[in-house]
Amino acid sequence: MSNIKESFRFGIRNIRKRPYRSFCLMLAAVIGSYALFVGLSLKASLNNGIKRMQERMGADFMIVPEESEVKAKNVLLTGEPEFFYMDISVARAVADIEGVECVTSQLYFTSLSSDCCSTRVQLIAFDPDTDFVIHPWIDEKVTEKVANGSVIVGSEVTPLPDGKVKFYGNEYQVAGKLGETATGLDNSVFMSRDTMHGILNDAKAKGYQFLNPEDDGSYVSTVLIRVKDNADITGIEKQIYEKAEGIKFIETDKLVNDITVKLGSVESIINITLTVLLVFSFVTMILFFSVIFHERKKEFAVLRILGTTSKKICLISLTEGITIGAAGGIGGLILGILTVFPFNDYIENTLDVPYLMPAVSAVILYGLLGVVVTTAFGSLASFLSTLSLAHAETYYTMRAGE
Amino acid sequence: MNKTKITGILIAILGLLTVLIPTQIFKVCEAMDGKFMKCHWTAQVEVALGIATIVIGLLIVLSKEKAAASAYSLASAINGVLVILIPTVVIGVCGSADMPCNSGTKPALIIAGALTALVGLINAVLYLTSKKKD
Repeated sequence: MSNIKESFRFGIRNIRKRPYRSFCLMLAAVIGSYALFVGLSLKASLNNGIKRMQERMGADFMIVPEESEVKAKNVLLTGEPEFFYMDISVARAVADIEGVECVTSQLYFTSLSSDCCSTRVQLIAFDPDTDFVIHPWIDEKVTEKVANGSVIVGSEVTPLPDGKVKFYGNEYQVAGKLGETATGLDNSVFMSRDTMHGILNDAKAKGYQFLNPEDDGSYVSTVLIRVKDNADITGIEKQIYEKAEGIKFIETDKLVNDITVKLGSVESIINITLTVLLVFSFVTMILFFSVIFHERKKEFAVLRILGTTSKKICLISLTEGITIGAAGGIGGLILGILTVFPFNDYIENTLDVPYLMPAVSAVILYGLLGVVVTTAFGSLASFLSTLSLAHAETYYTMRAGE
Repeated sequence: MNKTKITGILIAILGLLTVLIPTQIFKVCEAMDGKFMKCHWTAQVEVALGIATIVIGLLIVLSKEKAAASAYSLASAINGVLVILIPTVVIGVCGSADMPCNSGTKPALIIAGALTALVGLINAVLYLTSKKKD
């Protein structure tokens, strides 16, 4: 035991005596740990995002105006405020079709700016009586019912300190907040049709001009459909196209599949970068340790002459490897934390795919994994380098170069 | 190269980062309809603070007296705190998490400011507590 303690003390002293050499070695471990933590967190966030999106999609199908398919996808995926309209008769026609379980409609409107957000937000009017997609997501209920004049906000919309949001100079009570969906709906504000009507009238009274048509109750932006189990989807699609013209039928499963394909390419890039950086980290550590230990051959030979056993020399170098690997691993983890958490929104906006941080326990696990892997790299690299010196004869090592 | 020079260079680099973050690395929002948003003014102040931090860093490198170097280090720490306060409390940035100034510039400036404050403070404390005379 005292042998191990002594070797440990000796190893630490070696590291402290050569700060620049130790720093260079640690840098390799920092890169490995950073790559592992950031790479795994990004991958988990992307998978979590697509999973949550799938769960929260709610409807099996969406019907949107024929020319507005891209706009509808933008609203859903990126939260880019858009507006498009079709006749409300589409919603009524769909309800009678065999195999359709429930139907609800939504009306989209884009605010010029909201005082709470300093930017345009998507306003979505839904029908509280038929809704099956908004209510199940409400995470925080402020009031039991979404009364007229109150709104539900997406998870990324920040209300004013008094719990209200402001549009066109008027304040509206927040009745609830949705859970994170990893979709553009996180940046939207939801309300009843009457509330939206009130917002538009207030805005018009203040002199705002809109490109949208008059909200006289005859328009909707999207019709959301949930079908019964084992329903004939092709048949339903055909009947919808027969009953309404100028519409586009979007299968939400296909939409998710399209994103999964896009996600696949992002994930491949992460995988390749992660592998390259991990290999670089390990190879650099082996090379550094080999070169350093080669230079320290005489130092080890002196230790052998003074009676230090090979096992003890091995323990000293192992201590150096473990300490450098662990310290570098912790350094990489700190850098990773400073990248993943503060820049979470920036990464989400840049990648432009559903992105949701995994649970804290998973993130802690990735951090620990990074530190453990670089510690293992450090110990393995130092061990392999010491092995190569183990067979050298002390006498010849000391006389080398004479 | 002694530790004083290394710390001075480090503070100067952090000052340069404070200048580059809002102007080059994580650019703040463009003017909308000819109207500048809060983040624009935050960027202007941060550039000034960054330049001041660079000058302080260079003064630490050049200073030969312990008292002067510790005073400069303390000044850089105060600058670091200001770098954090400008986008968070004093002026602020755009409210939406979607805006680049909120999602990129603000966290980057907070990290740069925190590092400047930390390095400056540690350096000042080390100078003040070191037994070696000038």
